[in-house]
Amino acid sequence: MRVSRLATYGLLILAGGLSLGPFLWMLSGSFKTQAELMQPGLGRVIPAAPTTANYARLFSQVPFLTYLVNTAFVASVTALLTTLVSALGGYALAKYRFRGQGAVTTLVLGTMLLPGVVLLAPLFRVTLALGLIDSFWGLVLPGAASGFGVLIMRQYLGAVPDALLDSGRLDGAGEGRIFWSIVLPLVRPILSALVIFTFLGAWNAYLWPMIVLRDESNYLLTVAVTNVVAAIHQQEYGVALGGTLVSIAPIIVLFLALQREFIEGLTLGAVKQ
Amino acid sequence: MKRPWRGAPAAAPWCFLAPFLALFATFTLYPLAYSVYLALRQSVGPGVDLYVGGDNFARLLRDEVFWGALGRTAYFAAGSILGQLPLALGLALLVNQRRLWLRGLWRTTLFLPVLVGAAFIAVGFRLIFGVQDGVLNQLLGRFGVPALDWLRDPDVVLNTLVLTGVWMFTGFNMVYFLAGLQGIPGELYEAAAIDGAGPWQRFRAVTLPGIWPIAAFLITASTIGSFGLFDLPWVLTDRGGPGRASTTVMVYLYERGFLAGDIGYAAAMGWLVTLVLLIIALVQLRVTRARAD
Amino acid sequence: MLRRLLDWADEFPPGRVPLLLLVLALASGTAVAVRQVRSAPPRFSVWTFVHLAGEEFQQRLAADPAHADVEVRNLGTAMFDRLALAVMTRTELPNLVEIEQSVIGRYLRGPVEHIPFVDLTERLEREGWFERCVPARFARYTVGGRTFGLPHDLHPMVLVYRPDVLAELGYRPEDLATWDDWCAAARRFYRPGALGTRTWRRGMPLSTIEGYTYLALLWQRGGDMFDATGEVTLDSPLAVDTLERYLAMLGGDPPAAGPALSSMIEDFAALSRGQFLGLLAADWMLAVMQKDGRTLLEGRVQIMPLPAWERGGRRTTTVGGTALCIPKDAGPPDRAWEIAKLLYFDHRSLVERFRTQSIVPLLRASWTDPVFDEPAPFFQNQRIGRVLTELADEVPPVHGSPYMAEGYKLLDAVFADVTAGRVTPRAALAGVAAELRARMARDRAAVARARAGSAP
Repeated sequence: MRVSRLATYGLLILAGGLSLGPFLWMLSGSFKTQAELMQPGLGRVIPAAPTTANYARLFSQVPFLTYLVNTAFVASVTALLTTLVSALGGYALAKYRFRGQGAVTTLVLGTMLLPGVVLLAPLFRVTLALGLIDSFWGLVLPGAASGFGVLIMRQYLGAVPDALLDSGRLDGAGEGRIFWSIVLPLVRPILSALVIFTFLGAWNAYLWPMIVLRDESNYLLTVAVTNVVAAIHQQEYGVALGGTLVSIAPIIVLFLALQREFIEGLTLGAVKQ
Repeated sequence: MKRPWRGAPAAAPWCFLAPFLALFATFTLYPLAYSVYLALRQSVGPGVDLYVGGDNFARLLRDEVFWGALGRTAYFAAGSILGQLPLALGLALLVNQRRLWLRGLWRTTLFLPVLVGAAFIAVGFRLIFGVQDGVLNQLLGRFGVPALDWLRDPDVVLNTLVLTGVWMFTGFNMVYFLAGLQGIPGELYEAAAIDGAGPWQRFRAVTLPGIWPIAAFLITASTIGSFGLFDLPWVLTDRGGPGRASTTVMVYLYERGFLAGDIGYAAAMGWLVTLVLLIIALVQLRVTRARAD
Repeated sequence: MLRRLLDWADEFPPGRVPLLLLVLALASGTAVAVRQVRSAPPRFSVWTFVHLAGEEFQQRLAADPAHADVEVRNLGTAMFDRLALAVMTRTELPNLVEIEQSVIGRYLRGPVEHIPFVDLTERLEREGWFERCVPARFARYTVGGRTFGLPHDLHPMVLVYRPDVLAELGYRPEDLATWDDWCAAARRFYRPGALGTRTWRRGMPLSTIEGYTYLALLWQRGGDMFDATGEVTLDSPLAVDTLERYLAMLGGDPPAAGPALSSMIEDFAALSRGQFLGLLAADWMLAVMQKDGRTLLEGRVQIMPLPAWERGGRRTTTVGGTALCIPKDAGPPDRAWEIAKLLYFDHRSLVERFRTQSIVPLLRASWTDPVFDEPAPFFQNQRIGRVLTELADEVPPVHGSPYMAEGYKLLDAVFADVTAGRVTPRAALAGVAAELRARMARDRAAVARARAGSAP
């Protein structure tokens, strides 16, 4: 028994070390001078001559704060809009009976498993035709109609007792009021989970923002870190490491504060199992 | 049977559905139809665009680069499934033990990489993978492992991507397995113990069937996710290089459609990949169903 | 206080997390709106992908009051993607763009009238630039006799070496006049050992996975991927023989060269540790070396002309190159042309460019400037400008083609198989050439059909 506990902790420490190692390496590297970073060998965990110059350069030579703000905006609006649209649509499918309901459900189900690879080329032309190239709305709107979100919401909203809605109607509340004030508070956990799930996805998205955004003052962090930071500091690696860390830090802070919602959000896919 | 409530106007569901339907029609249904149109056309440079019928598909069938990219994508998918799932299950079993000190901390630690986008990882990891002075080789060298050129050796790069994927997603899969493990009733284990089953037999008789639906889901999800693989080969291994060694279907599609400007070819490629993915998904479904029965 | 705030947050029907994001969205949205109102689009934009060039252009234009409204943007390699999308959509085009030589081909295919850049041929002829420059350099940006890019650089290639290491081996630079001489020295220098260790020694790094060094050596011998008419010549006997000799350098017992490491920095570090006898470097790379390899190589290295393939043969070749192009749909080209000349042909700009980027100009008249005689402390006070300009007239021409980038890509894709011995040089080059010819034929047919279709 003792051996197995020892093995358990040994394995966990190994796995935890592999998991955290790269973070620590990046953190330590971002405080190193270029000369120290380029020193052959393993290098020190605590830099020999710690410097904050990489971070200073990150914010002075590149409008990095702008990229942070842009990303926060796009990710939060995407998350809120997607969740709202999904909740509205899921509510209609779960709590009403109407002609065409089956057709809508089938359509959503049928397109849900389509891989992104088939939509990339035509979606670009559509976004272009709508004048949404180089606009944040070109990032927010295409993803907002999420078949996945609608189906998840439909499932959770289906569990809301009809009696509650009927009693709301008896009190004279309109359909919108019932949805907003009675129904939504009952499904807060799933709303939080879906919001977080889409927020994380939008924060980390790379290909579509790279295609849609043109002006580099509109860049998001992914595009900025891979392009602008890398371009200016092709070999000044500490700056790139600093940029990477500043980009992932807000997500990690949010995660530590909202662990339960994160884990629920990211395991949404298993709900149907 | 539900019935329409009194006082619920017939238009109400359509009002709730309207935002979704408008966006869905614009950004999913219409592009889907449009991509059929595009797939039948060819562009040469910015000025020439003409109808070519099924020529794009005929060319794709003969395009060695495309099939190579498809093969590499499938390799990545298989490598990810084989590399991540057993590891994730093992970690989930470790973390799920009843008397575990700091259980929350272990879970958090192992989950952390899931939060980081592939684009950020690609930038952060580049130096780690250097052949001569990179940290990974320096570290492995201490244990006598010969140096590998992780990012520049065509025979190695795909494995580098798989390995990076393992780092990124094992925690994600682990959380799914944890949810599955926690859903297995404790009585089942007790009953098995009473029957005299050892740990391995308990694992085979109780745990494995209990988490099999989760595993089946993760296999399908990993496969679909792998076919969208773009960020890592584009940033970490420099646009699908060296040569074509990390060119996945998504990289090739972007290259042909958006950089070389033949968007019709890209659209055709999208359809062919979807077809292949559909076949793979059906086969997987067959296999996992059979396994579950 | 916090409690009341949380209670109040709980009143929001969807809950706290959505409320948190709503606050974030409103705050960031305000900041975005304020920024977008404040920033006006530039009246004239120049794009580049080279960091040093971006800084230099900006300084040069800022010094000229007539061009105060010009905005220079350094977009890194992402510039190529941005430009491709901008050309495809005809939106947000730069007024002037600096393009890398292999990438321009993408825009030069299809009928000439559809090429998205302004045809510069007449301006170049009228103002006499072809005679005043090394004319070979225009070849890359020319298709069907029309020139669409303005080059400024020669990029002669040299060998960087550590004089103390060479002397210890018993050689002077002038002893290494041919590649055979070099290989003999390199084989004596060789020490076995695995990558990742500090014990191995190799003559120089040659890529085993990408074809660019091979192509540079092929150009040195007078071969090329395309000829002046744009036809594929990569399967010529000269090209095959050069690839065979390239392999002989990597192979042999002991080998005269080793595989290139993961990055320039790793190559620099190995040279500084005496693990490489020499490194191939074009002029621009000397500036990169002085910036990024300062701690490793400062005051320890010198440069020498490349060994020739035949005794008395060409002692240099070339790698890379950029040109300024004027997008057609970006507005009237006259101002762009003036700015292009200011950046690329103005004597002061060229001198400054050598100082900051060590790029040897195309314009013959500028070679006499004293800057090229200045001793360089990084290179043990060697007059590197003189070494480079003396090689300038020997720089071989490289012929442009709309299919150049694809040719590079195809060669790269097969190159690892060639160096690993899985494919013979002859078969590999024949395969690349055949594929290129097939693509060219197909595009020609499509263009012909489109022409026939659009004719009434």
